[in-house]
Amino acid sequence: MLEVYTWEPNANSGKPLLMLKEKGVAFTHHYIDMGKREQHSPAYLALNPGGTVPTVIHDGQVLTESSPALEYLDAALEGPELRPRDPYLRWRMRRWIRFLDHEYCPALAMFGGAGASERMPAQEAAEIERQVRDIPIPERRRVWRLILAKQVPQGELAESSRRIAAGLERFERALAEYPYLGGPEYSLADIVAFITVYAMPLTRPQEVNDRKTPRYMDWFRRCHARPGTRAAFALGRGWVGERVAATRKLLGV
Amino acid sequence: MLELYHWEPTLDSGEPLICLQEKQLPFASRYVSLLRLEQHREEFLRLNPTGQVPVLVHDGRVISEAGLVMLYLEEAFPHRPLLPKSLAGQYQAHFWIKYVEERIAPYVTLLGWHGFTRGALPRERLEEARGGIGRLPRERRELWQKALDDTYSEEELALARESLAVATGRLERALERAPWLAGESYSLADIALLLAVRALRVVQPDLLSAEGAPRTLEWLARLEERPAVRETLALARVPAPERLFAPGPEPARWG
Ligand SMILES: N[C@@H](CCC(=O)N[C@@H](CS)C(=O)NCC(=O)O)C(=O)O
Ligand SMILES: N[C@@H](CCC(=O)N[C@@H](CS)C(=O)NCC(=O)O)C(=O)O
Repeated sequence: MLEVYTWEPNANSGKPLLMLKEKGVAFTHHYIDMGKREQHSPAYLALNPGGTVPTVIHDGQVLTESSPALEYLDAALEGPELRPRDPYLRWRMRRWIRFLDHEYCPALAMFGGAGASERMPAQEAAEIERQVRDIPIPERRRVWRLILAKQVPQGELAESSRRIAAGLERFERALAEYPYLGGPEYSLADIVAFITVYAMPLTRPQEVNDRKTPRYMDWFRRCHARPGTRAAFALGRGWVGERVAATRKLLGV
Repeated sequence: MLELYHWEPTLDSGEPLICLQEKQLPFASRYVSLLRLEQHREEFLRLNPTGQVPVLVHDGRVISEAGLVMLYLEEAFPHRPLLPKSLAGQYQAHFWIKYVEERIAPYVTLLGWHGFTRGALPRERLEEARGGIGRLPRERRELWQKALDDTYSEEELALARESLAVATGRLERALERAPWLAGESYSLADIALLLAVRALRVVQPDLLSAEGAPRTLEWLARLEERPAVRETLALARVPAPERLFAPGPEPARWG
């Protein structure tokens, strides 16, 4: 039995979706609507006390931390192996995943948060406190307070922008050494990266284009063309589909 | 050949040190004195441009990040295994290694530097540090700048304390369910947490009271009895290294 609780095929939610489609393993998908903050509902918190998506349940084993969950699933399930066997390449894959989880993707997520914040209605401080009170992770409570209060700090956003731009070189350099981030083959590192950055040629065309980042662009084309990628994006119900379609058009995939 | 660039047997550097000792792997020890700021010298930055220890060099290949170095050692030298056989146990080990890096190490190092180390360093050392950080990548430089100026906001300090309280609660509950963090056997997860908890005992002793964290204290005592742990802790070159802190990983910027 394999059950997957996620929002859209995007960022952390998208990781197990993309991976399971790559492996070709069947699963039951439960859609958690982050727009309605369903990840903070008592029913979901009973499953995942941190109140984050995704959650994966495999034969009774509850997995709440997405990147360790991917390693588990790769070992547990049939289908193509998504981790290099060589210990050094495996380290390289994990080093990428850590960079993405800890540094790069949060910088991108901050922009998502800032966008959501702009669309929020103005609210009283007491009302905001009431809404964030039950968010279990303290760091997350702070983030939601900033979003709801429409106070995502401009300085922080500028720093995230700088890091996103600086990270482009890191991708370009890695892809000059090997065709994929973890090495010669497509691996979990590509999954973790791609499901967050997949629309960058569309959203940051001045920085991500065939002239400035040719290897990265080639990687985008190869990743977008994979059948697993298409199948994972097909699970989306919201805006992801449109962004993907526009990106593919731009890439000519 | 294995070479390990490390500081004292404390949080981060201690992880691969214990792991090597458990596996009885011979290695060349390259001590990098963070108090003398050797990690900001050109030679070391060529190895790890972020200026952080530990770094393993195996037959010329450079492998960084404490938890990932341990996983590498486990996979390259699988004898005397330090990961459970079950996939569920392996998931727990990966989970805790990530948890230390994200939710514990940033905060114990921040509170430890702020509360203990900065005030204990001679003024000239702090001034010297300002020179060396110019060679660091911007993120590390800014983290150091804040540490040297000690300009942590009340909000940051409070968040660090609150997060550590959450982490200790989580640890205690995990140890109610099983004797070791990844289940029935001692593993890399215990090594990673051991050093984090020893640091926590210095910076937030109230979180580790006999009433509030009995399982954690019992687990800690059990770990400190292990020969490999004792031998590693005995490698200390300075008295009470667990009271010394250098800026560690950056706290999460967006939750
Ligand atoms: N460390 C977790 C993070 C998961 C995470 O932060 N997911 C985001 C969506 S990409 C989330 O649940 N956000 C909801 C919230 O913070 O309220 C993992 O890797 O699984
Ligand atoms: N993510 C790194 C963190 C290592 C780290 O932060 N090391 C600290 C000591 S605890 C360091 O070397 N700081 C020296 C500096 O930044 O100058 C790892 O897991 O190895």
